[in-house]
Amino acid sequence: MRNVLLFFRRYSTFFTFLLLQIISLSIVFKYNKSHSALGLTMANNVTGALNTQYSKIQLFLQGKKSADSLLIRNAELLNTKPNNYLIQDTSIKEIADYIPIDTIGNTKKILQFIYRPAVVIYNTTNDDLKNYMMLNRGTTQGITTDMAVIGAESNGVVGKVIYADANYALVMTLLHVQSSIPAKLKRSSDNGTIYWDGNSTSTVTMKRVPKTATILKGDTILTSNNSDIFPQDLIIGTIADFKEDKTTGNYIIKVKPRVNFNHINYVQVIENTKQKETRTTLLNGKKALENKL
Amino acid sequence: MSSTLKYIIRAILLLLIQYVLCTEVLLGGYITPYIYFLYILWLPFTIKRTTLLFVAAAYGLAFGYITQAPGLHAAACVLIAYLRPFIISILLPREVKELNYAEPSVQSMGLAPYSVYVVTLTIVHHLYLILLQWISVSHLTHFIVKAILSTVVSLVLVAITEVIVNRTKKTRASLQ
Repeated sequence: MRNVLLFFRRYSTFFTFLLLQIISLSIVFKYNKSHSALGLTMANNVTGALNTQYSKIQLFLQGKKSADSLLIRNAELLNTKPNNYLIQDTSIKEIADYIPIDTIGNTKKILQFIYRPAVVIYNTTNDDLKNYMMLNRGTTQGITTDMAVIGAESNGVVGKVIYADANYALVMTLLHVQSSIPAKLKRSSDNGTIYWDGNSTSTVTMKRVPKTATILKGDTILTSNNSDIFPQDLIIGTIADFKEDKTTGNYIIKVKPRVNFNHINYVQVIENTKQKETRTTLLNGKKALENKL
Repeated sequence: MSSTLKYIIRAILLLLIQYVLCTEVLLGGYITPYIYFLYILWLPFTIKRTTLLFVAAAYGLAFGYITQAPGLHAAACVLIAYLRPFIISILLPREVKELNYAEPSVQSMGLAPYSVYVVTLTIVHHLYLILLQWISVSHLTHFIVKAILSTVVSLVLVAITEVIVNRTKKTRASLQ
Protein backbone atom coordinates (compact mmCIF):
# COMPACT_ATOMS: atom_id res chain seq x y z
CA MET A 1 0.00 0.00 0.00
CA ARG A 2 2.79 2.34 0.95
CA ASN A 3 4.50 1.61 -2.34
CA VAL A 4 1.36 2.46 -4.27
CA LEU A 5 1.11 5.78 -2.45
CA LEU A 6 4.78 6.47 -3.10
CA PHE A 7 4.26 5.65 -6.76
CA PHE A 8 1.43 8.15 -7.05
CA ARG A 9 3.44 10.78 -5.22
CA ARG A 10 6.46 10.25 -7.41
CA TYR A 11 4.44 10.67 -10.61
CA SER A 12 1.94 13.21 -9.28
CA THR A 13 2.76 15.71 -12.05
CA PHE A 14 2.10 13.13 -14.73
CA PHE A 15 -1.21 12.16 -13.21
CA THR A 16 -2.27 15.80 -12.93
CA PHE A 17 -1.36 16.15 -16.59
CA LEU A 18 -3.46 13.12 -17.56
CA LEU A 19 -6.41 14.30 -15.46
CA LEU A 20 -6.39 17.80 -16.99
CA GLN A 21 -6.08 16.37 -20.51
CA ILE A 22 -9.07 14.10 -19.93
CA ILE A 23 -11.14 17.00 -18.57
CA SER A 24 -10.25 19.23 -21.52
CA LEU A 25 -10.95 16.53 -24.10
CA SER A 26 -14.27 15.61 -22.55
CA ILE A 27 -15.29 19.29 -22.79
CA VAL A 28 -14.22 19.30 -26.46
CA PHE A 29 -16.23 16.25 -27.39
CA LYS A 30 -19.25 17.10 -25.29
CA TYR A 31 -19.42 20.48 -26.99
CA ASN A 32 -18.86 18.96 -30.39
CA LYS A 33 -21.53 16.31 -30.14
CA SER A 34 -24.49 18.63 -30.17
CA HIS A 35 -23.44 20.79 -33.05
CA SER A 36 -25.98 23.55 -32.70
CA ALA A 37 -25.88 25.65 -29.59
CA LEU A 38 -24.97 23.75 -26.49
CA GLY A 39 -22.48 26.36 -25.28
CA LEU A 40 -25.10 29.05 -24.85
CA THR A 41 -25.10 28.74 -21.09
CA MET A 42 -23.44 30.59 -18.28
CA ALA A 43 -20.10 31.04 -20.01
CA ASN A 44 -21.85 32.69 -22.91
CA ASN A 45 -23.34 35.36 -20.71
CA VAL A 46 -19.80 36.44 -19.85
CA THR A 47 -18.32 36.11 -23.35
CA GLY A 48 -21.53 37.58 -24.80
CA ALA A 49 -20.88 40.74 -22.81
CA LEU A 50 -17.27 40.84 -24.06
CA ASN A 51 -18.39 40.29 -27.64
CA THR A 52 -20.96 43.07 -27.34
CA GLN A 53 -18.31 45.55 -26.20
CA TYR A 54 -15.95 44.44 -28.95
CA SER A 55 -18.62 44.77 -31.64
CA LYS A 56 -19.32 48.30 -30.42
CA ILE A 57 -15.71 49.25 -31.21
CA GLN A 58 -15.94 47.45 -34.55
CA LEU A 59 -19.20 49.23 -35.40
CA PHE A 60 -17.62 52.56 -34.51
CA LEU A 61 -14.68 51.88 -36.80
CA GLN A 62 -16.84 50.71 -39.69
CA GLY A 63 -19.66 53.10 -38.87
CA LYS A 64 -19.54 55.40 -41.84
CA LYS A 65 -19.58 52.69 -44.48
CA SER A 66 -22.50 50.93 -42.82
CA ALA A 67 -24.42 54.16 -42.35
CA ASP A 68 -24.06 55.00 -46.06
CA SER A 69 -25.40 51.68 -47.21
CA LEU A 70 -28.22 51.90 -44.66
CA LEU A 71 -29.22 55.26 -46.12
CA ILE A 72 -29.36 53.73 -49.59
CA ARG A 73 -31.41 50.81 -48.31
CA ASN A 74 -33.74 53.19 -46.51
CA ALA A 75 -34.26 55.21 -49.65
CA GLU A 76 -35.09 52.04 -51.56
CA LEU A 77 -37.71 51.11 -49.00
CA LEU A 78 -39.21 54.60 -48.88
CA ASN A 79 -39.64 54.40 -52.65
CA THR A 80 -41.93 51.42 -52.25
CA LYS A 81 -44.29 53.20 -49.83
CA PRO A 82 -47.85 52.85 -51.12
CA ASN A 83 -48.68 56.58 -50.84
CA ASN A 84 -45.98 57.31 -53.41
CA TYR A 85 -48.32 55.91 -56.02
CA LEU A 86 -51.59 57.12 -57.44
CA ILE A 87 -54.44 54.69 -57.81
CA GLN A 88 -55.52 54.63 -61.44
CA ASP A 89 -58.42 52.22 -61.37
CA THR A 90 -61.04 52.97 -58.73
CA SER A 91 -62.98 49.74 -59.05
CA ILE A 92 -60.23 47.52 -57.55
CA LYS A 93 -58.55 48.52 -54.32
CA GLU A 94 -55.67 46.88 -52.51
CA ILE A 95 -55.61 46.77 -48.75
CA ALA A 96 -52.59 45.59 -46.86
CA ASP A 97 -53.91 44.16 -43.62
CA TYR A 98 -52.82 41.88 -40.83
CA ILE A 99 -56.39 40.68 -40.30
CA PRO A 100 -57.54 38.09 -42.81
CA ILE A 101 -61.13 39.24 -42.69
CA ASP A 102 -62.78 40.73 -45.69
CA THR A 103 -66.32 41.98 -45.40
CA ILE A 104 -66.84 44.21 -48.42
CA GLY A 105 -65.26 42.20 -51.18
CA ASN A 106 -62.00 44.05 -51.57
CA THR A 107 -58.87 42.29 -52.83
CA LYS A 108 -57.10 41.48 -49.61
CA LYS A 109 -53.47 40.83 -48.84
CA ILE A 110 -52.10 38.87 -45.92
CA LEU A 111 -48.66 39.67 -44.67
CA GLN A 112 -46.64 36.46 -44.96
CA PHE A 113 -43.09 37.61 -44.33
CA ILE A 114 -42.11 40.00 -41.55
CA TYR A 115 -38.68 41.66 -41.68
CA ARG A 116 -36.94 42.58 -38.44
CA PRO A 117 -33.56 44.34 -38.34
CA ALA A 118 -30.80 43.08 -36.03
CA VAL A 119 -27.17 43.90 -35.25
CA VAL A 120 -24.45 41.25 -35.52
CA ILE A 121 -22.49 41.11 -32.26
CA TYR A 122 -20.36 38.06 -32.98
CA ASN A 123 -19.47 36.50 -36.30
CA THR A 124 -16.88 33.88 -37.21
CA THR A 125 -15.55 33.03 -40.64
CA ASN A 126 -12.51 30.98 -39.75
CA ASP A 127 -13.74 28.58 -37.09
CA ASP A 128 -13.10 25.31 -38.82
CA LEU A 129 -16.11 24.19 -40.82
CA LYS A 130 -18.65 25.54 -38.34
CA ASN A 131 -19.32 29.25 -38.50
CA TYR A 132 -21.93 30.99 -36.40
CA MET A 133 -23.19 34.52 -36.01
CA MET A 134 -24.80 35.99 -32.91
CA LEU A 135 -27.52 38.64 -33.12
CA ASN A 136 -28.58 41.14 -30.47
CA ARG A 137 -32.22 40.05 -30.72
CA GLY A 138 -33.97 37.04 -29.22
CA THR A 139 -37.36 35.61 -28.41
CA THR A 140 -38.35 38.78 -26.52
CA GLN A 141 -38.07 40.68 -29.81
CA GLY A 142 -39.93 37.99 -31.75
CA ILE A 143 -37.02 35.99 -33.12
CA THR A 144 -37.29 32.21 -32.91
CA THR A 145 -35.57 29.26 -34.54
CA ASP A 146 -36.00 28.51 -38.26
CA MET A 147 -36.16 32.09 -39.44
CA ALA A 148 -34.25 33.28 -42.48
CA VAL A 149 -31.45 35.85 -42.14
CA ILE A 150 -30.31 38.16 -44.95
CA GLY A 151 -27.67 40.89 -45.02
CA ALA A 152 -29.13 44.36 -44.58
CA GLU A 153 -26.63 45.97 -46.91
CA SER A 154 -26.53 43.47 -49.77
CA ASN A 155 -29.87 41.63 -49.33
CA GLY A 156 -28.05 38.33 -49.90
CA VAL A 157 -28.85 35.18 -47.93
CA VAL A 158 -26.78 34.85 -44.73
CA GLY A 159 -28.21 31.76 -43.04
CA LYS A 160 -30.93 30.70 -40.65
CA VAL A 161 -31.57 31.08 -36.93
CA ILE A 162 -30.85 27.83 -35.09
CA TYR A 163 -31.22 28.94 -31.49
CA ALA A 164 -32.76 31.89 -29.69
CA ASP A 165 -32.49 32.93 -26.04
CA ALA A 166 -34.40 35.78 -24.45
CA ASN A 167 -32.09 38.46 -25.85
CA TYR A 168 -29.62 36.76 -28.19
CA ALA A 169 -30.05 34.53 -31.21
CA LEU A 170 -27.53 32.23 -32.88
CA VAL A 171 -27.42 31.98 -36.68
CA MET A 172 -25.91 29.13 -38.68
CA THR A 173 -24.37 30.91 -41.67
CA LEU A 174 -23.88 29.54 -45.20
CA LEU A 175 -20.29 28.84 -44.13
CA HIS A 176 -21.23 25.82 -42.03
CA VAL A 177 -20.82 22.22 -43.19
CA GLN A 178 -24.28 21.31 -41.93
CA SER A 179 -26.05 24.13 -43.72
CA SER A 180 -28.19 23.22 -46.73
CA ILE A 181 -30.43 25.70 -48.52
CA PRO A 182 -32.82 24.94 -51.40
CA ALA A 183 -31.88 27.11 -54.37
CA LYS A 184 -32.64 27.57 -58.05
CA LEU A 185 -31.04 29.07 -61.14
CA LYS A 186 -32.61 32.35 -62.13
CA ARG A 187 -32.16 31.61 -65.86
CA SER A 188 -33.93 28.26 -66.04
CA SER A 189 -35.54 27.79 -62.59
CA ASP A 190 -33.73 24.47 -62.18
CA ASN A 191 -33.61 23.44 -58.53
CA GLY A 192 -30.55 22.52 -56.50
CA THR A 193 -29.19 22.75 -52.99
CA ILE A 194 -26.50 25.02 -51.55
CA TYR A 195 -23.85 23.44 -49.31
CA TRP A 196 -20.43 24.48 -48.04
CA ASP A 197 -17.43 22.20 -48.50
CA GLY A 198 -15.36 23.99 -45.86
CA ASN A 199 -12.46 24.97 -48.09
CA SER A 200 -12.85 28.64 -48.88
CA THR A 201 -14.90 31.34 -47.21
CA SER A 202 -15.53 33.05 -50.54
CA THR A 203 -17.37 30.22 -52.32
CA VAL A 204 -20.21 27.83 -51.54
CA THR A 205 -21.25 24.80 -53.60
CA MET A 206 -24.55 24.13 -55.37
CA LYS A 207 -25.28 20.46 -56.01
CA ARG A 208 -28.06 18.34 -57.54
CA VAL A 209 -28.57 20.57 -60.58
CA PRO A 210 -29.60 18.30 -63.50
CA LYS A 211 -27.37 18.18 -66.58
CA THR A 212 -30.21 19.46 -68.75
CA ALA A 213 -29.96 22.92 -67.21
CA THR A 214 -28.33 25.76 -69.16
CA ILE A 215 -25.58 27.34 -67.10
CA LEU A 216 -23.37 30.33 -67.74
CA LYS A 217 -20.73 31.89 -65.52
CA GLY A 218 -22.13 34.94 -63.73
CA ASP A 219 -25.70 33.62 -63.61
CA THR A 220 -27.70 34.50 -60.50
CA ILE A 221 -28.69 31.89 -57.92
CA LEU A 222 -31.92 32.53 -55.99
CA THR A 223 -33.69 30.76 -53.14
CA SER A 224 -36.34 28.35 -54.42
CA ASN A 225 -39.94 27.84 -53.31
CA ASN A 226 -38.86 24.51 -51.85
CA SER A 227 -38.43 25.91 -48.33
CA ASP A 228 -40.70 27.09 -45.56
CA ILE A 229 -37.93 29.23 -44.07
CA PHE A 230 -36.68 31.35 -46.98
CA PRO A 231 -39.02 33.49 -49.11
CA GLN A 232 -38.73 32.82 -52.83
CA ASP A 233 -36.29 34.74 -55.04
CA LEU A 234 -33.83 36.03 -52.44
CA ILE A 235 -30.39 36.40 -53.98
CA ILE A 236 -27.82 33.87 -52.77
CA GLY A 237 -24.98 34.70 -55.16
CA THR A 238 -23.57 34.33 -58.64
CA ILE A 239 -21.96 31.39 -60.44
CA ALA A 240 -18.16 31.55 -60.27
CA ASP A 241 -17.39 28.18 -61.85
CA PHE A 242 -19.07 24.87 -62.67
CA LYS A 243 -18.21 21.33 -63.67
CA GLU A 244 -19.99 18.08 -64.36
CA ASP A 245 -20.05 15.31 -61.79
CA LYS A 246 -19.20 12.15 -63.76
CA THR A 247 -20.74 9.78 -61.23
CA THR A 248 -24.17 11.36 -60.94
CA GLY A 249 -24.42 13.29 -64.19
CA ASN A 250 -25.36 16.41 -62.26
CA TYR A 251 -23.60 19.75 -62.21
CA ILE A 252 -21.42 20.91 -59.32
CA ILE A 253 -21.54 24.68 -59.26
CA LYS A 254 -19.24 27.00 -57.33
CA VAL A 255 -21.25 29.99 -56.16
CA LYS A 256 -19.84 33.30 -54.96
CA PRO A 257 -22.17 34.49 -52.19
CA ARG A 258 -23.62 37.98 -52.47
CA VAL A 259 -22.86 38.62 -48.78
CA ASN A 260 -19.29 39.34 -47.72
CA PHE A 261 -19.13 37.29 -44.53
CA ASN A 262 -15.98 39.04 -43.34
CA HIS A 263 -17.74 42.39 -43.00
CA ILE A 264 -21.32 42.10 -41.94
CA ASN A 265 -22.79 44.31 -39.23
CA TYR A 266 -26.52 44.55 -39.85
CA VAL A 267 -28.96 41.86 -40.92
CA GLN A 268 -32.68 41.46 -41.47
CA VAL A 269 -34.40 38.47 -39.88
CA ILE A 270 -37.39 37.19 -41.87
CA GLU A 271 -40.30 35.46 -40.20
CA ASN A 272 -42.61 33.26 -42.24
CA THR A 273 -45.98 33.66 -40.52
CA LYS A 274 -47.36 30.65 -42.39
CA GLN A 275 -44.55 28.29 -41.40
CA LYS A 276 -46.41 26.46 -38.65
CA GLU A 277 -49.50 26.09 -40.81
CA THR A 278 -47.64 24.62 -43.80
CA ARG A 279 -45.74 22.23 -41.56
CA THR A 280 -48.93 20.95 -39.95
CA THR A 281 -50.55 20.55 -43.37
CA LEU A 282 -47.58 18.51 -44.57
CA LEU A 283 -47.60 16.32 -41.48
CA ASN A 284 -51.36 15.73 -41.49
CA GLY A 285 -51.35 15.10 -45.23
CA LYS A 286 -48.73 12.39 -44.89
CA LYS A 287 -50.61 10.83 -41.96
CA ALA A 288 -53.88 10.82 -43.93
CA LEU A 289 -52.15 9.13 -46.87
CA GLU A 290 -50.60 6.46 -44.63
CA ASN A 291 -53.95 5.73 -43.03
CA LYS A 292 -55.51 5.21 -46.42
CA LEU A 293 -52.85 2.73 -47.54
CA MET B 1 3.88 45.79 -8.48
CA SER B 2 3.57 42.28 -7.15
CA SER B 3 4.54 39.56 -9.59
CA THR B 4 1.18 37.76 -9.30
CA LEU B 5 -0.63 40.91 -10.41
CA LYS B 6 1.87 41.27 -13.26
CA TYR B 7 1.13 37.76 -14.49
CA ILE B 8 -2.66 38.28 -14.28
CA ILE B 9 -2.46 41.51 -16.30
CA ARG B 10 -0.21 39.77 -18.81
CA ALA B 11 -2.77 36.94 -19.17
CA ILE B 12 -5.63 39.38 -19.83
CA LEU B 13 -3.63 41.40 -22.36
CA LEU B 14 -2.52 38.33 -24.30
CA LEU B 15 -6.09 36.95 -24.37
CA LEU B 16 -7.45 40.25 -25.71
CA ILE B 17 -4.74 40.50 -28.38
CA GLN B 18 -5.35 36.90 -29.42
CA TYR B 19 -9.11 37.56 -29.59
CA VAL B 20 -8.51 40.44 -32.01
CA LEU B 21 -6.15 38.23 -34.06
CA CYS B 22 -8.78 35.48 -34.24
CA THR B 23 -11.60 37.71 -35.37
CA GLU B 24 -9.76 40.13 -37.63
CA VAL B 25 -6.88 38.25 -39.25
CA LEU B 26 -7.81 36.02 -42.17
CA LEU B 27 -4.82 34.97 -44.22
CA GLY B 28 -5.94 33.07 -47.30
CA GLY B 29 -9.30 32.48 -45.68
CA TYR B 30 -8.36 29.99 -43.01
CA ILE B 31 -5.04 30.58 -41.27
CA THR B 32 -5.27 31.78 -37.69
CA PRO B 33 -2.01 32.80 -36.04
CA TYR B 34 -1.75 32.02 -32.31
CA ILE B 35 0.41 33.86 -29.82
CA TYR B 36 -1.65 33.46 -26.64
CA PHE B 37 0.37 30.41 -25.51
CA LEU B 38 3.45 32.65 -25.03
CA TYR B 39 1.96 33.27 -21.59
CA ILE B 40 2.78 29.71 -20.59
CA LEU B 41 6.29 29.93 -22.06
CA TRP B 42 6.91 33.14 -20.10
CA LEU B 43 5.93 31.84 -16.65
CA PRO B 44 8.82 31.86 -14.15
CA PHE B 45 11.38 29.06 -13.88
CA THR B 46 10.59 28.48 -10.23
CA ILE B 47 6.85 27.73 -10.65
CA LYS B 48 5.85 24.30 -9.33
CA ARG B 49 5.06 21.80 -12.06
CA THR B 50 1.58 20.98 -10.79
CA THR B 51 0.74 24.67 -10.41
CA LEU B 52 1.98 25.24 -13.95
CA LEU B 53 -0.41 22.58 -15.26
CA PHE B 54 -3.41 24.08 -13.47
CA VAL B 55 -2.57 27.60 -14.59
CA ALA B 56 -2.28 26.36 -18.19
CA ALA B 57 -5.61 24.53 -17.99
CA ALA B 58 -7.44 27.57 -16.59
CA TYR B 59 -5.84 29.89 -19.13
CA GLY B 60 -6.69 27.59 -22.06
CA LEU B 61 -10.28 27.15 -20.88
CA ALA B 62 -10.73 30.90 -20.59
CA PHE B 63 -9.53 31.37 -24.15
CA GLY B 64 -11.68 28.47 -25.35
CA TYR B 65 -14.84 30.05 -23.97
CA ILE B 66 -14.05 33.37 -25.61
CA THR B 67 -13.73 31.74 -29.04
CA GLN B 68 -16.71 29.41 -28.43
CA ALA B 69 -14.62 26.25 -28.78
CA PRO B 70 -14.04 25.28 -25.13
CA GLY B 71 -11.55 22.54 -24.29
CA LEU B 72 -9.46 22.53 -27.47
CA HIS B 73 -6.99 25.19 -26.37
CA ALA B 74 -6.99 23.96 -22.78
CA ALA B 75 -5.79 20.52 -23.95
CA ALA B 76 -3.02 22.05 -26.06
CA CYS B 77 -1.94 24.43 -23.27
CA VAL B 78 -1.78 21.63 -20.71
CA LEU B 79 0.37 19.59 -23.09
CA ILE B 80 2.96 22.32 -23.61
CA ALA B 81 2.92 23.15 -19.89
CA TYR B 82 3.71 19.49 -19.20
CA LEU B 83 6.57 19.40 -21.74
CA ARG B 84 8.04 22.78 -20.75
CA PRO B 85 10.16 21.66 -17.75
CA PHE B 86 11.65 18.75 -19.73
CA ILE B 87 12.73 21.01 -22.58
CA ILE B 88 14.17 23.62 -20.21
CA SER B 89 16.16 21.00 -18.34
CA ILE B 90 17.56 19.62 -21.61
CA LEU B 91 18.52 23.08 -22.86
CA LEU B 92 19.90 24.62 -19.66
CA PRO B 93 22.06 23.44 -16.78
CA ARG B 94 20.20 23.77 -13.50
CA GLU B 95 22.38 26.42 -11.84
CA VAL B 96 22.18 28.91 -14.69
CA LYS B 97 18.43 29.14 -14.86
CA GLU B 98 17.65 29.02 -11.15
CA LEU B 99 20.28 31.42 -9.96
CA ASN B 100 20.29 34.16 -12.50
CA TYR B 101 16.92 35.00 -14.04
CA ALA B 102 13.24 34.87 -13.15
CA GLU B 103 11.69 33.62 -16.38
CA PRO B 104 12.68 32.22 -19.82
CA SER B 105 13.80 34.90 -22.26
CA VAL B 106 16.56 35.58 -24.76
CA GLN B 107 18.64 37.21 -21.99
CA SER B 108 18.27 34.38 -19.53
CA MET B 109 18.74 31.44 -21.91
CA GLY B 110 20.69 32.83 -24.85
CA LEU B 111 19.32 33.26 -28.35
CA ALA B 112 19.82 29.74 -29.70
CA PRO B 113 18.44 27.71 -26.74
CA TYR B 114 15.51 30.11 -26.34
CA SER B 115 14.65 29.84 -30.05
CA VAL B 116 14.72 26.04 -29.86
CA TYR B 117 12.50 26.22 -26.76
CA VAL B 118 9.90 28.48 -28.40
CA VAL B 119 9.90 26.79 -31.81
CA THR B 120 9.54 23.28 -30.36
CA LEU B 121 6.65 24.20 -28.09
CA THR B 122 4.95 26.25 -30.83
CA ILE B 123 5.05 23.30 -33.21
CA VAL B 124 3.81 20.90 -30.53
CA HIS B 125 0.97 23.28 -29.61
CA HIS B 126 -0.17 23.74 -33.22
CA LEU B 127 0.09 20.08 -34.17
CA TYR B 128 -1.90 18.97 -31.13
CA LEU B 129 -4.55 21.67 -31.58
CA ILE B 130 -4.98 20.79 -35.23
CA LEU B 131 -4.96 17.07 -34.53
CA LEU B 132 -7.85 17.58 -32.12
CA GLN B 133 -9.75 19.66 -34.66
CA TRP B 134 -9.14 16.93 -37.22
CA ILE B 135 -10.45 14.20 -34.93
CA SER B 136 -13.57 16.16 -34.13
CA VAL B 137 -14.52 17.06 -37.71
CA SER B 138 -12.25 14.86 -39.92
CA HIS B 139 -10.91 16.73 -42.91
CA LEU B 140 -7.27 15.65 -43.02
CA THR B 141 -5.53 17.44 -45.93
CA HIS B 142 -7.22 20.69 -45.02
CA PHE B 143 -5.81 20.51 -41.50
CA ILE B 144 -2.28 19.44 -42.46
CA VAL B 145 -1.90 22.43 -44.76
CA LYS B 146 -3.47 24.58 -42.10
CA ALA B 147 -1.12 23.24 -39.41
CA ILE B 148 2.00 24.07 -41.40
CA LEU B 149 0.87 27.51 -42.52
CA SER B 150 -0.48 28.55 -39.09
CA THR B 151 2.73 27.42 -37.40
CA VAL B 152 4.86 29.48 -39.77
CA VAL B 153 2.70 32.60 -39.40
CA SER B 154 2.51 32.17 -35.62
CA LEU B 155 6.30 31.86 -35.34
CA VAL B 156 6.76 35.08 -37.28
CA LEU B 157 4.30 36.79 -34.92
CA VAL B 158 6.02 35.30 -31.86
CA ALA B 159 9.36 36.67 -33.08
CA ILE B 160 7.80 40.11 -33.57
CA THR B 161 6.25 39.94 -30.09
CA GLU B 162 9.63 39.05 -28.57
CA VAL B 163 11.19 42.09 -30.20
CA ILE B 164 8.36 44.48 -29.23
CA VAL B 165 7.69 43.35 -25.66
CA ASN B 166 10.37 44.61 -23.31
CA ARG B 167 10.17 42.21 -20.38
CA THR B 168 12.06 43.20 -17.27
CA LYS B 169 15.60 41.94 -17.46
CA LYS B 170 16.06 41.92 -13.69
CA THR B 171 18.14 39.11 -12.32
CA ARG B 172 16.80 37.07 -9.46
CA ALA B 173 19.50 38.50 -7.25
CA SER B 174 18.28 42.05 -7.75
CA LEU B 175 14.69 41.04 -6.92
CA GLN B 176 15.60 39.98 -3.42
